[in-house]
Amino acid sequence: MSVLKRLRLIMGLLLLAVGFGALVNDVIPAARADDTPFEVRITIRDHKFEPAMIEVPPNRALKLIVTNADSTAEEFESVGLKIERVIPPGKTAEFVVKPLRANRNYKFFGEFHPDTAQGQVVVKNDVVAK
Amino acid sequence: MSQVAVMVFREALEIVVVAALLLAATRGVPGRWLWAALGAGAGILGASIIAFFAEQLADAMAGSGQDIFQAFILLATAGLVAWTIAWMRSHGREIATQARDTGRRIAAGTAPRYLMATAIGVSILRDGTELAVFLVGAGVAGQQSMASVIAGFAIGIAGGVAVGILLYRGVMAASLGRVFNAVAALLAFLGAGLASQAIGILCGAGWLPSGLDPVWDTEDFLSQGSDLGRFLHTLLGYMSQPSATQLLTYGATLALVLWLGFRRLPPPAISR
Repeated sequence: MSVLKRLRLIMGLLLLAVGFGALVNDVIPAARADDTPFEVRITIRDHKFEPAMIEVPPNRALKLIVTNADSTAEEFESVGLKIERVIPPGKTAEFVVKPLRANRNYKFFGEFHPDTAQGQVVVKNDVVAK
Repeated sequence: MSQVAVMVFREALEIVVVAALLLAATRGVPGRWLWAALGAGAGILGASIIAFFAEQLADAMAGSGQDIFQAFILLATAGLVAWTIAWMRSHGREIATQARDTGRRIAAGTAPRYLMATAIGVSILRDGTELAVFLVGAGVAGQQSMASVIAGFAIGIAGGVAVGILLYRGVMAASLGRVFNAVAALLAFLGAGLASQAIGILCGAGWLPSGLDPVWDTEDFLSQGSDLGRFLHTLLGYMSQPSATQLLTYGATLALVLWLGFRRLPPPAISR
């Protein structure tokens, strides 16, 4: 098989993965989950997250409300959740996260103070929905 | 101080990798060092202005302004990289063969220096803005003395520039005819990484569907936040938890830039 054909095959498969994934991730959970996002409040204080460990239900959109209570800016970043945004001191940022699948962990951290500012979102089935 | 140095080094590295590879790709183009410096200067100026107004800008755009800004800059950088490669592929030969004829050389090779300068400028705009916000925080909040912030900054920049020189020298050490090929391949991966990061930000903000997410999860194996993970992310676009849309973007960009850099050219027109 020529390189070009192989490349086309790979791209085709990836396109299928996007379509299938969009169905599984975005359409199906949306059909069975209720529409109101699950709210989570996080405060950054002394370059740490309060709370640092957050348990959330699966298949439900999340709203992360992150307040920076420090006197310095922090960049709230999560590789898995595809978030990276600077939050100025004293400000609050909101992030809507699409429904996540059960039994997964998503780390987040403060880019400006990664030694102390570390946390994670844990998706668990038995979290009581608010 | 060490924390400032580490942070500055990380941000500088992202800029320096782009700059070093583009400078290597545009070898032979007259005035490229001057234009690189002009691009860098404009980027630093722009980043300082944006950092100063960062708070107001973020508020004005309800917090998601940064996402648009980041995605736009990343995509612009990827586009400029691709454009430089495409240009150098079709005109590189002219520049090399006419190297002795300064007048014609300038006529043949003015475009890529603007592309390269703009690419360097916008990367500084992105990483520099972040850095400026961080440094203002570190200095003004009185966490650390001004002297230690400045020392950390100097160490970080020096480290970043040192890596850039190593990278540039390393690539240039490849045999003469192969320099462009090596750089074009590296820049294709870099461009793919930039584009997929931009698309990731747009997916995260809910503007694009992310598809299957994540397709794989190697965060525990090699964290994208670790030093090696960051370096591989910057240079090759390594992702520990990529979505299908990001992978698709990566593949498409990689294929496009590789094609631009290695496409077969029509035989050169006979010059008088």
